[in-house]
Amino acid sequence: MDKPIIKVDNVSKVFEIPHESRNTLKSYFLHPFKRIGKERFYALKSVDFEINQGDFVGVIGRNGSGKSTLLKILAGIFEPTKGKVHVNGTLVPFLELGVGFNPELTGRENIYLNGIILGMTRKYVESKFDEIVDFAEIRDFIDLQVKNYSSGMVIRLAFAIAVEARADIYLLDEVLSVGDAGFQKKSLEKMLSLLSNGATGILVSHNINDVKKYCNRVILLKKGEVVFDGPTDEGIKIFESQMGLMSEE
Amino acid sequence: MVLHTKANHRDLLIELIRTNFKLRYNNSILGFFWVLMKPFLYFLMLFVVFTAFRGGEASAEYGANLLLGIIIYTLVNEGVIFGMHALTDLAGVILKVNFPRQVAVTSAVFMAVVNFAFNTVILLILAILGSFAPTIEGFLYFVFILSMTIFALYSISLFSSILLVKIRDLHHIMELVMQLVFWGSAVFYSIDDMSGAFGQLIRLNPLALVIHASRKALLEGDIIHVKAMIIMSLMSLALYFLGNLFFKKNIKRIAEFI
Ligand SMILES: Nc1ncnc2c1ncn2[C@@H]1O[C@H](COP(=O)(O)OP(=O)(O)OP(=O)(O)O)[C@@H](O)[C@H]1O
Ligand SMILES: [Mg+2]
Repeated sequence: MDKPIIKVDNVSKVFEIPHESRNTLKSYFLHPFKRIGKERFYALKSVDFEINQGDFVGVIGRNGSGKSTLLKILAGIFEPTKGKVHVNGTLVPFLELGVGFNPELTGRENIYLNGIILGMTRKYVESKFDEIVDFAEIRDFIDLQVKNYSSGMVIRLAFAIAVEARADIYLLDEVLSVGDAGFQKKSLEKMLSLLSNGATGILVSHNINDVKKYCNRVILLKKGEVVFDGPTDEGIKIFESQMGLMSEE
Repeated sequence: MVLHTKANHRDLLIELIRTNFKLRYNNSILGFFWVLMKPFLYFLMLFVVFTAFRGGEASAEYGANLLLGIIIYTLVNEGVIFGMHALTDLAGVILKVNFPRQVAVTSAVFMAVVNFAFNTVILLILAILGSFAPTIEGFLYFVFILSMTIFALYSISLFSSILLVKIRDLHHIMELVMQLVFWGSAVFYSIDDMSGAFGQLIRLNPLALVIHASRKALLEGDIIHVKAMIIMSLMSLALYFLGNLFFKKNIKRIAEFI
């Protein structure tokens, strides 16, 4: 491979956690000169890796280990405090639940809004509209407000829109776990077909079986640091032994 | 598919405006009708009250002045409030997708402008009914004042939209301030009738000058406060550049606080 599609260069992310919250004018008025102490918290510490085109990388680690923070940095939603991220291609983030739908709008309206926010033109969304609706299997509910959808339906719709972006890179944070088994299979297979066509995927999941089945590499995070980066099986073994759950095989 | 092209940015602006409309007016004609009715009902109320104060004699001239004042105040009020909420209203999206955030501010202020455009329909009806006949120079000056006002609203929103994320009770304060501005902006009176210290104070209020100059220009064809308008244009320009710097500097980390 000539050039990595993603290069994460010594990235750290620090969140400043104030000892008490100060986000109202009232608090400024009541204690104008009070200094509020801050804790510097490293959500990511000197993270360094490269991802090549066509990789499907699993990011695993315990709650709070920095997985979502890492994906948000890759998506350009957070700025790294230190270090640099180079992304060589278009990227579609698909992060956590909700995915930026507006509950008051109908499924149809959200398809347009979401597709355009992801970077598509309105015309393109229009041309893909039927495919999206069919993939999400929500034809009968398309003119219903999204607040009346089940959470699985929301995720299906969001996924169906995101795959139509034909991006070079897909970031999936814990999103497929909500769909039913049938949809999970269908969507992961869709991801694999996108990957075989040259896309790159990063999957954050607590479902070790999905990671095992689909990812060709894992990055294991512990308290913001990469403690393992390599073949899936090996990484999962280390993770499971860390959690004190030896794998049963 | 190439993402985030110029065409996409244009579509994004249109889509955000469209969404704003749908949400605010519940997607209904009746909801939309309210945009027209709200300032008009306000107008009727004030018209009746102040006509009673002024000795009970209804005057078309006072009516036209009052209506214009209310419509301009509504533009400024909505521009300030919508603009301030531009980022927080899109919090769910901002946390999940990296799109050009300035578009959020543009669409919010644009929304206030569209409302304004619809409100001017009432004004147009009054003009057709013959209660006033604008001159060309007066009309052009009015358009200039409006453009400057909208530009200023956008510039202010570059600051306020970011500040609201960090100072969550800012909107309570702003609502109070806008109430105060309403009383001090010569909406239902004319600054010509104001004297003394209070009159001096009101003449320092840019919105009072904007309303006064608009009235004279549109209703009587007089071009006044030219110097003040030029100074305000320059100040808006400065505010715009500073606002841009402030916005660009802070927007990078906004997702952490929203
Ligand atoms: N905006 C923020 N401000 C302050 N701290 C934050 C912010 N976002 C995340 N953190 C902190 O960063 C750490 C890592 O969070 P992150 O969401 O990346 O974990 P995660 O690995 O995705 O966990 P989970 O498995 O529960 O999803 C947590 O301790 C969290 O509290
Ligand atoms: Mg997470």
